[in-house]
Amino acid sequence: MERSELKFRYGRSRCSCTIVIVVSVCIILALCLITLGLGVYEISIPDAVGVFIGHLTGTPLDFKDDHYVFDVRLPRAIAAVFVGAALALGGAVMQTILRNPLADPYTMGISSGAFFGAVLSIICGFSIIPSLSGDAATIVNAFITSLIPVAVIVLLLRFNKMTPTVMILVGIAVMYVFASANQYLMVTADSSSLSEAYSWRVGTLADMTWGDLVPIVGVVTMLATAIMFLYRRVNVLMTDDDYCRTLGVNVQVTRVILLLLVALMTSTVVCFTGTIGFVGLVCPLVVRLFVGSDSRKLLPLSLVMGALFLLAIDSVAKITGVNGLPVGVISALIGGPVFVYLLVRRKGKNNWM
Amino acid sequence: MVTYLMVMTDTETLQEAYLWQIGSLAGLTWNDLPLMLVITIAGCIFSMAVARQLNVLTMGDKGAKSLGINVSSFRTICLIVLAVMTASVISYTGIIGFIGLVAPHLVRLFMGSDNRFVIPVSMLAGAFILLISDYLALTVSGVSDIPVGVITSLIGSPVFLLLIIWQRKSYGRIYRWSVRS
Repeated sequence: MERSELKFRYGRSRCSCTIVIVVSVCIILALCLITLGLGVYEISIPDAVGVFIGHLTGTPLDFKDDHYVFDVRLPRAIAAVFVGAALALGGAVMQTILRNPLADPYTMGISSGAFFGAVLSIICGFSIIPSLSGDAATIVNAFITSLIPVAVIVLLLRFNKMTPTVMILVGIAVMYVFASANQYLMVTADSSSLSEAYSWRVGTLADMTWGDLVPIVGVVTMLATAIMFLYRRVNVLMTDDDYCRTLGVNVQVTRVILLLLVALMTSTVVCFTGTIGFVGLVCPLVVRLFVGSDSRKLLPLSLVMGALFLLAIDSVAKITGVNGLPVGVISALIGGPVFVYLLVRRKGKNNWM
Repeated sequence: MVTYLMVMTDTETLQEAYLWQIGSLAGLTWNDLPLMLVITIAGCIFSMAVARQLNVLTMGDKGAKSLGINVSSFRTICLIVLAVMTASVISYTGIIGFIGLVAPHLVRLFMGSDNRFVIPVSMLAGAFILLISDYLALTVSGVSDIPVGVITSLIGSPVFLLLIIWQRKSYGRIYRWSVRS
């Protein structure tokens, strides 16, 4: 193939990718407005949009409507967008740098680390920063303890040379350590704390406030931009370690930096919402099916698709069940079979990339 | 779906369901033993009989095929036997983790990888570890009854982590088995 023809084809695929991203962003915005009308509190969709516009233009229509739409549902919708984007981007990066299609942002042990912090706060009433209590304690605890497994792995990376497989194994081992401590604390707890802790783990976007959104939006935006600037390194890391070195990429340093960025982004998101599973695992895989593994297309597209996916699931979660369900339940219900289907479908191909 | 059900129920049922899945040796009676014993002993005899073929299997699929083992059917039979053996125990006790993961690796640290020796010694090592864990579960917990599954995870997971970090070339690295490139 001639070089100009290659360039033309690549440009065309990037163009179509950009179109898909723009269309998806429009769908996200539309879904944000639609989801203002969904939920336990009865309000129709056009009314909800009217209330939203009324609030923005400074003429609130009805006080109660305004509170529900603007203070409860809008933060939840925005949170769904940013959380889904963060998880899916983290999943895409983790799958690429660990060269494993089963990796997700929680692979480094972040999920059980965060749960340990939450359990410390919910069941034992212990807060790492002594002046906090209640929800704030849970959030801060979860953030601090979710970074411990990552710290362990990064420290081990400095002493041993580790391949991606060993990194995954160490992450799983650290996850087991924290999971056993969690299990011990949950077994000795009373039933109401146990159910509260269990609900935290399932992952929910309810009870999002504007105050919660500030750190989420800020951190996710900054770190996602940083990660996407590094897309060339991510592309190179997909290949063998030796190829990376001949191409001038310092493998260990780049891997650690990307891991830390993903871990910080995921920890920030997890400590507010709990561990919402499968978004970081399934979205990048589905996007990869359509787009291939080029990070220039994969990373932005999985970011946008993750946001759309979680927003759609959250809307479904709000209307199912009697009082609405936590998002984690729906994401597991949908994500599990999709994941199995993807695995089965891939059986023929040896090289998943 | 389990998550959905657990989230939807009230707190007492949730606690009961949660405690059921954690492995515990409490509540076992003489009546429960015969089925477990028969299946376990049968499984152990099977494992010791196929130990040599398992040795050959560690050379990889192609190596084993060239030495005359029907790899896929052998693997399926072994998996079925293992599944039946494990199921016969777990359906009485719940999930007791880490013994099957850690005991064979510890045995290999001392004895090398020859399956003819590793399999019987792992059986003894596993029994020993579970007995000690049960003793610890009974004495350490004091008033509240801690299931043995919690103790095996609390002990087994740091041991697993240390095993991964300290790889010894002599008995073969754990992660090498999963990497074929």
